Amino acid sequence: MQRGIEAQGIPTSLITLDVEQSSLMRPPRAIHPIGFKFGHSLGKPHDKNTQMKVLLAALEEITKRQEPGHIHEVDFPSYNQ
Amino acid sequence: MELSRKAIPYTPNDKPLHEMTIMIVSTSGVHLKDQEPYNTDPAEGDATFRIIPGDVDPKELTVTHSAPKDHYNTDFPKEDINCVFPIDRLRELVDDGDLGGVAEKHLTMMGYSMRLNKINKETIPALVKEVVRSKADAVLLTAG
Repeated sequence: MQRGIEAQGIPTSLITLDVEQSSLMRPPRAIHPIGFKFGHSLGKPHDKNTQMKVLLAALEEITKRQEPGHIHEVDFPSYNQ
Repeated sequence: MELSRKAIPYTPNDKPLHEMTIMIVSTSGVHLKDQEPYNTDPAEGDATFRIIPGDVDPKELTVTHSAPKDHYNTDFPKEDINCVFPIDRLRELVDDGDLGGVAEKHLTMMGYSMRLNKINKETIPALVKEVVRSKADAVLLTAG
């Protein structure tokens, strides 16, 4: 899906928890929030602080030059608090 | 257009975030409560997608997903949809002037559908057309 959208000239950024599957697809831009559980890929319910940090990390991928196919591992310590 | 699996389509971007309109495309199984839920019968699968209006009230959203609960616990996004579909966070960025805008619509699917052939041949081309028509500057992809 990400490849299809990028092929039309629209930049995309992926937040993935399934690094194994996503790596196979070689995404143009992606982050992996380390240690997050499925069901809260941006953060736990009502944890606005962590959700915003994850969202910004994903959006910033779009504004920086990337190495396509590389998934950036990002640590969000506030997730575990 | 058929793409080589080796080639990675990559669209360079020079726009700063405060000039960009962002669309969410998610495989988290999010949908409006009054839209048809995704089909969770693994024998049938579900290759459809839903269009979520850009001005949606997050309280009107829910999640239907066929993944086992120990793999993807939908109780969390049902409590706060922003766990997988960060619509409130995007709006806050726009309000603060850090983001140009939120797209007039968003698109969702259910991952774990197993109907990959139909999804690749029919669903994704239709979904990509919707993205192009929407004139969003960039797409945020989220899973469950």
